Amino acid sequence: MKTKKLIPLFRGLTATMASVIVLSSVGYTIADANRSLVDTALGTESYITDTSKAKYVNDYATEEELQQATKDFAIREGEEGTVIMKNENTVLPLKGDNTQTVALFGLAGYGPYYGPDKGGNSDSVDLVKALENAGVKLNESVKTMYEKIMNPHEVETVNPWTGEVTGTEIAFDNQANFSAGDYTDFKVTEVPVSMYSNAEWGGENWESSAESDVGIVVFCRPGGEGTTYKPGSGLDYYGNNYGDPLALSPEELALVAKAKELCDKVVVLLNTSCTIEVGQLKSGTYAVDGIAYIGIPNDYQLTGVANVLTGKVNATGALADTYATSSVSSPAMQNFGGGYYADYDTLAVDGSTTRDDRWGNTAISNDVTGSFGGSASYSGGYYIVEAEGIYTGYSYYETRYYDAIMGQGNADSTKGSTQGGAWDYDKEVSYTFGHGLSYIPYTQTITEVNVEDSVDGNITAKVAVHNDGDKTGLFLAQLYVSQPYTQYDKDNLVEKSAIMFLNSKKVEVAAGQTVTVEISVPTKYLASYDYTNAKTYILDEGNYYFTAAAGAHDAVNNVIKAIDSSKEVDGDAQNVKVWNNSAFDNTTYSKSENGMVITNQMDDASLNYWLPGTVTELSRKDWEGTYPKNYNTEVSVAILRSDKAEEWKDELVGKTYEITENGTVENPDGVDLGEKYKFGEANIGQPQLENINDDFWNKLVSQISVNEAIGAVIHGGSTSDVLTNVDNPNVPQADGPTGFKDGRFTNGFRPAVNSQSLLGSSFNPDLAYDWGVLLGNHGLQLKKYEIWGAGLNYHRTPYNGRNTEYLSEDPMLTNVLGAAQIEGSNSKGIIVGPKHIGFNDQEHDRSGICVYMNEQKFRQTDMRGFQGAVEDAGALGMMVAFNRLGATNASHSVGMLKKIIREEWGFNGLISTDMMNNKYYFNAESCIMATITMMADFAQGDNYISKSGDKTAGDSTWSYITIESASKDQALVDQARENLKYQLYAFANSALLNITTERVTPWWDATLQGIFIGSAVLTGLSAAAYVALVVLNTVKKEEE
Amino acid sequence: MNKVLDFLKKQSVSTYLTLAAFILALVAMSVYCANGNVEGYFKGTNPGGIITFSVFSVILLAIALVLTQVNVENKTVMLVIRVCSDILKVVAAVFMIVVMMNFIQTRLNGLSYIFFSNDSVKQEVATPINLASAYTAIAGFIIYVIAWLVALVNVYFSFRPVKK
Repeated sequence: MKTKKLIPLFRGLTATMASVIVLSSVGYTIADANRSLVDTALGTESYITDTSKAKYVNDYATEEELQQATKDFAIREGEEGTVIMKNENTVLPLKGDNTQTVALFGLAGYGPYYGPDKGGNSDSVDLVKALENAGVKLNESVKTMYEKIMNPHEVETVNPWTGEVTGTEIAFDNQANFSAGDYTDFKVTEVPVSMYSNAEWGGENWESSAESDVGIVVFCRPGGEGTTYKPGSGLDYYGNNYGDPLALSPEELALVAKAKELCDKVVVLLNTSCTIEVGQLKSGTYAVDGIAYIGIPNDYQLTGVANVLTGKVNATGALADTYATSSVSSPAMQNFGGGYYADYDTLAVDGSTTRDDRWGNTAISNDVTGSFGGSASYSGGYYIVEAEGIYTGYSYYETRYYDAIMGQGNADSTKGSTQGGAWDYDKEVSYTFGHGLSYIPYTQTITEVNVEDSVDGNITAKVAVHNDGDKTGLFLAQLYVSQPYTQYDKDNLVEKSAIMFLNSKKVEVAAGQTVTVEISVPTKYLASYDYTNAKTYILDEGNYYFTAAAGAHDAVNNVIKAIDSSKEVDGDAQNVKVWNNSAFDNTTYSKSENGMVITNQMDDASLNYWLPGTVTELSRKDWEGTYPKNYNTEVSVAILRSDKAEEWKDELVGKTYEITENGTVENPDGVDLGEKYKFGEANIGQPQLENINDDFWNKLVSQISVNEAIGAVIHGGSTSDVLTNVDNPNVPQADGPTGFKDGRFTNGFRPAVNSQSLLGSSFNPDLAYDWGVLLGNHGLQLKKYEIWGAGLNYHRTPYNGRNTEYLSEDPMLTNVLGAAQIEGSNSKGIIVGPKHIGFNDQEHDRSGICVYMNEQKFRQTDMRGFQGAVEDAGALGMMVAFNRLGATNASHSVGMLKKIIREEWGFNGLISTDMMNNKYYFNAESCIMATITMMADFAQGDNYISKSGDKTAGDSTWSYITIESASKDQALVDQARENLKYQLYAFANSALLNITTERVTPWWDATLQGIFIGSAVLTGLSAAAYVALVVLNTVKKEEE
Repeated sequence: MNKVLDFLKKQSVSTYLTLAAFILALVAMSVYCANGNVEGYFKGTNPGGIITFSVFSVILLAIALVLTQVNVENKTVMLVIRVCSDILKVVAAVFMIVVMMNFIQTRLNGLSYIFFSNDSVKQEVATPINLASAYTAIAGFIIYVIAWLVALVNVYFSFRPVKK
């Protein structure tokens, strides 16, 4: 071939092969950073896990056994979590013998809301199937009508990238609205009953064939991540505003009326974890015979629900939330949603005339935007003041009720009344926390209480559960306490709920028999936090009234009767045991169980710290005078008005910590101390497992270079990578309170079938423990050793869509259930990290909203929900909330993370941020100093500042951080290594100690590397050929 | 008009391909810059160094285009121009793939988040403005692929100066 013709070919090949170099190298970088995703998509493995020396083993011999146990658990959860709220005219239990016709109404009846993380198993059971399997004879005419109304049909699913049709899914013409939205209008899509007579649906005469013995009407309200209801934003079927989205819409009420017309009796089922207003179903025009709460079920729970509805098992669930007549009636709703500071934009920098030296000439705003893409923002312009203090849920309603009965604190003023006139408990509350009816009559009576008055002591109560019925059944015993509210408390702003849930237990009792159960709870929860005077936990002098009761209202009535028998309340003074604390005590509980002094750590979480005297928090000494105002609309809060404006601004822009030169780092390039200091069971024995201060740990992490120490923390989320010189296993993290969402058994079974809402309403720590053990077994089966698998925030209000992942409005119920779950999963060596600590009270603007509160509220509400899992059960991991505590990003909060959780609670595990989605809001160095062990991102293989080790190269995200600058900040590097110590210690105390991961090269990895090398060689050869041919051709031409 | 037609007739295939590559590179660079500067999810996600590659690829193609209009008698000069043109086109094509791959790399996580999160999170992140940013990014990928392919094909065509 003539040289002239070959020149273009080799020129082209040079360019082509050089392009392939780029394609393969960058492509490899992308694939490497998303290795686990690529492996999942291609069915390959990059890490082989060797479990031959596993210390923790699966309880189940086969996958099938574990699968069956999982289903059985879910059914049991459905049974124990179903709450019979109302049961009149013996509507329940239904006759499960096909002799009673039941008409099922409501879009949710035929398509329940399962939450965003439904397991998705092919044998999942919906309500229709569950009822029919339980022997309920459903009205076929109504069922057929709904099939036509909903018209399930297949639609194509389309790849959004390519437009290619990828498969099919089921769509509906009409379906309950499963999308709560983000603080926006919520449309209730229940079809008007007036349309049922459409020819295509029921036809003109549908009603005559719909008549049944019992009508079941199902309503749902969805939730999920990223969703928040907006008060007053409910839209009816036609798109017209009808009021609150948590109230029943006109169409829903009309459906109830129609069901009452057509059926002898009607039961309404509530498919929700955000409380629906049911006052109109309790009494009045729309009053029905039965109301039951069925939570947000997963694949199999509805079988359990049907078992309860048909009486196959006794009903033992109890409401984990107060059902108020009006959802906005709680004082927490005076401050919900949030709003901007009056001068929020003064923090903005334009990048030229004003700069943030960390970011050079980048313009940064202070809007709420920027947290999910878009313009650079500190995301510190929005705030909310939780001025209700500890008075959320039943703590408010029952305490105010108590004070109204006792005639104190202006409790019966009109302030806060939503039903007209003086505040009246009976008008404000439909059903209280802890309420739940049993089919079998029973009593629960406290017979004894013993209080070990020490920080590591326990309260142990004996409760006699007597079965008054003629069948054996399971029963729920609930333990409550009423603490004294003293003059000291009033003088020092220590608030006390008139009644407080402590713990509960379920027990099986034969007909006519009595079984005495022991219910215990750590005594430390009896103490209250005094943030103004003692600045620690105190135990007031006075009488502590313990009682067993079927709910908070019964409990408080028992206490009232015990205190003053003349009060006309339906209480039982005999069902109360009194323990007297003879002297005020601000010492016993002023230190934690591990001896750390407990004192104020979160003063700056209060708005009064920044602007003294601005906030008046709700106090029961004067309900009327202290009822919260709205601190977004009624008060102008300006940052620059504060005497601490500079400090405030620093927190808002994420300067909780700034990199400085404060010392020389030891071993900045890392050092290999030999085989003796590698992660693994050969080097880690009981002394090391029990003592994080053992020198082994310090030596282990001292080997980590500055590059990796900082990098592994600030890029360590999603997967914990192997650290050089440490040789820890590679550990991907899984997610979800429903379980291992991305996990599949080899037969395709999806084990993520938990329902947090039904676990909460089960009130059963034993059930929670069983779930923890099961979750642990799932982890061992799937070889997944870490999961953000326990949602433990409390329900501050019903409007937070994320309530679906959390258990209850009550911190103590959350506490005991969370502790039990963690204890269960710890027993199998799986790290289950509770989330989102703390105060994720709304999803709306969650990434950046400043949440202000006093320290009593901080410690005794949301944090208390986590305390059991962490301090009592020894959780090994946790995930932090997106929001701020006061002005400080929760992930920067030294007060919460280091002082309280690590030092007071003795937590030595790993802590992850939520997804790092805004580098101006999540500050790397501040996170490190707050003892964060990993900042969540989606990549892996990125535990470094600079991949090449270039000391002056900026980090890929926080570009001002270099190995060089970090190496001069000894405090920062020491803390980063310390944080990794916690992480490795957590791994060691889990199943990860006894497994090893071996990195292997899957075919795609080898192919990309091969292509890179091949293309590099070919580029060189092509280029050389091109040059040679050009020279040859030139010489030839000259010769010619 | 005749002069214009004459001018056009004197250009070689290589010249037209170079022109096409130049225009496409310019458009691709504009989309890339817009995607990283206009309000939306990907605002601020263009690393400075990569912009340089993008600019250079356009400049190199512009120079290559100018060189196609040079036709002198001196064979040595023409040889140098021919080799320079070859190098410019090869380097421009490689620079374009560098920018394109970096463009994809910096958008991948965000696109996954916007399109493949669960429905609840999508409500939060898949806002109209973020979706516009995402679709712009995808359009940019496509334009860069086309631009790169045209530039690559162009490399296979030899330098032909404008006919005299």
